[in-house]
Amino acid sequence: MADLWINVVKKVNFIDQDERSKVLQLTEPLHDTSLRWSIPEPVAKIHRQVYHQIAEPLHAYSSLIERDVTRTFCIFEPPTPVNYTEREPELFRVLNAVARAEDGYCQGMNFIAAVFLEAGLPEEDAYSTFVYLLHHKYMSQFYKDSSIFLNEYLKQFQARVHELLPELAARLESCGFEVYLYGIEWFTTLFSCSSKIDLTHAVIDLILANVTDVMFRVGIALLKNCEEQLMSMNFDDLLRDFKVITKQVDTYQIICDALTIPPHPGASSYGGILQMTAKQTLPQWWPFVKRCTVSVEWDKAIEFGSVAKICFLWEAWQRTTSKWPLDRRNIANTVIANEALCLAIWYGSIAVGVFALEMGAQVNDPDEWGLRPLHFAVVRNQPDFVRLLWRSGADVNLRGGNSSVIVPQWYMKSPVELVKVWTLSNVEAAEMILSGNVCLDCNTPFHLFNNILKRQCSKCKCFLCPQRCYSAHKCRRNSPTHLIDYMWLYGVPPMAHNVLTDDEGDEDDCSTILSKQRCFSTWYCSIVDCHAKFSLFSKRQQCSICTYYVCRDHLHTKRVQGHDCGVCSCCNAN
Amino acid sequence: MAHRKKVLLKVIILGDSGVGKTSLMNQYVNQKFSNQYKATIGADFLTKEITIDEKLVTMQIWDTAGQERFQSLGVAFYRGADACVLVYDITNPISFEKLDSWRDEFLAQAGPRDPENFPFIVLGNKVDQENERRVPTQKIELWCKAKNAQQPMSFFETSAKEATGVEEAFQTIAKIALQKGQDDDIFVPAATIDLSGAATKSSGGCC
Repeated sequence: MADLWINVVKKVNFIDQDERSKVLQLTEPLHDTSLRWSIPEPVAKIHRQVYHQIAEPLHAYSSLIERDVTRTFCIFEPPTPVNYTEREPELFRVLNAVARAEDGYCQGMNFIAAVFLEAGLPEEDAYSTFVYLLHHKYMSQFYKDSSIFLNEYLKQFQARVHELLPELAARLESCGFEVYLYGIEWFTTLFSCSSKIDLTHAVIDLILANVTDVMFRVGIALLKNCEEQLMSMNFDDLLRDFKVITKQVDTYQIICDALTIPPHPGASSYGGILQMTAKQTLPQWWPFVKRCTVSVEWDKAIEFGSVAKICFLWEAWQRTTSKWPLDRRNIANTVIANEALCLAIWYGSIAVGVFALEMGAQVNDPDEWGLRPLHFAVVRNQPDFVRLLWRSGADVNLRGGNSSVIVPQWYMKSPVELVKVWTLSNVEAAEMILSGNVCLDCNTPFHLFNNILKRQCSKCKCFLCPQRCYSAHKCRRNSPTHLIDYMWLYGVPPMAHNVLTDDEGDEDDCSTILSKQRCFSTWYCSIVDCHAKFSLFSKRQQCSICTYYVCRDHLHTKRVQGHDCGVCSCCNAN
Repeated sequence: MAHRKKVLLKVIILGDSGVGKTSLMNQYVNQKFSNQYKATIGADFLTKEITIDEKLVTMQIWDTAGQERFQSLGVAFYRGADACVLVYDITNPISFEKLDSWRDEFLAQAGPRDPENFPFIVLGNKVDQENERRVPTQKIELWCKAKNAQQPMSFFETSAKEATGVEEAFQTIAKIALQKGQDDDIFVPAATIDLSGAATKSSGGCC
């Protein structure tokens, strides 16, 4: 393939020197000849491990995938040296993983995954490379439930054809041969169903080399190369022969033409027309979206905050990785612990968050977008997590957003900056802590007088009240994770030190109900409504029955076993 | 319409992913069956010339993708259709249940003049797998009657693999579509309707 690019660089008169240097890189021999394509390390590091977590477990889309797996490899023309039936399980696993990570499956994906496998990529690299294209090259938008993006993209393409090949565009239009009749297949399969396979390879090369608007330009070059033939055809001929003709065009010629076609003038140099169109359809919070990097079972366990279940799943994961070499196993464990932490933050499952940290999650590790756990704690307004992470050594001034992967935008901020500019949801509670309006340890609000006296730890930059908390503060910044006393951070699990070990048999039921509805926190009221408002800045009270902490407003006096006890609203009601 | 004029019928095949739309089309047009068809993305097209009542008819068959999320782009495919073939898989009850939504979606997007009497035909494919059947014949009969009591849709059980019922099914839909075209000729002022309208429309500037 390097030969193709050497010839291309010789032949093409590049409009943009920057683009020339990108293509020039493709002429260099590959470092690792077994890998046809490589992607940025931050993405590869995470997703190579994640693959083993999500490739096997079945989910809602698995049956759809199974149906397509047998109808995919046939796009590779004979002579076929490999027996493709044997490779179908591989394709299934890769697609199963991609569908989990994307939370959706759409036809077209199967051909791209097959191209990666056919080119010799190992399964985990086929998966990671595909996810990279989907997440960081905006391709995921092609496969979303609504076809708004695809429709918009095709319209833009048609407009561009009109601009650059006006005669052909007019001709096709007068015949009624619309862009939908070929464009859907072109763009959702990266031309793999409609051209020679080395064109798809070249397209992937160019996209991964960050060349702008690759698909648009290749599409137009493809039309340009068949223009003469297409001009003389009527609608019936077009229907019958269009695909045959486009399949015969020479790859080298298309690539040379594509690179001499200027990118869309209105699109940014970064993501081109794809990124411009994606802006309209991406979720508002993107890239702060829920991660689907662990199996559905993990996701459920984390959502319900079930430490026992996570413990069990973690052990199963340990068995999976136990045969791997030590360094790889360490990376894999850290990556999965990080992903579990991120999801725990998303759901606000503090207990699982603590567990993830104990299992080796790194509080300052960036995800594939360069975002860190604290960023998520901010946008999800999780004061518990802001505290937990900060006390565990998270850096509140560390910028998020990896510029090599995402466009520098407003989310390239440190947590402290982010909490001030985030407007898409209420982050008041997180802001209280990050801006130093309350003591990180005892939750005392800093009013007038205190505000002047409050102290800041020189290492971790946290704010503490001048009395007890500052002198007792042991800074965890830079200390090894396993030395941190997490029990202090998140309190003793409620049922463990129940002062009233009564003999009523319904104790277990009570605890399961409570753990689903309430968050155990030593910092403020665990009654859901109150918790959300972050209202306990004063003295905390402990319920004698469930041992959760509540604020004064939610404490009631109840006579239990002959004593007057303070009980929370929840236990009082039962 | 007695004179021998080239007539063009645009026939759309719709149905869930994997029910065998591509196989049916290829069996009908090329008399071939293969396990090696790729999943259809967007649409594929084949044409076949047949003679019905001494008329030469060109059937332009549009095989569409079964993936639902391509449905909303269907307008481009459905426009100007003369007939619609709905396909389900007799071993897959879900594909049968989805017939309603395929039919509704088609009528909504194609917007035919007379939706009540638009020529539909239903094919229950894969009868070669009779022992795995999960949609009984009575069910589809009832469904066809429920849609139109006076003139129930015709249905065929087919096997693209063994070529069972395929020829008859496509012959039937061609006849119904032609008939419908002629009826329209009678009832609608001649100036606004022409059976070969689809042909002149779609072949555009070429003639």
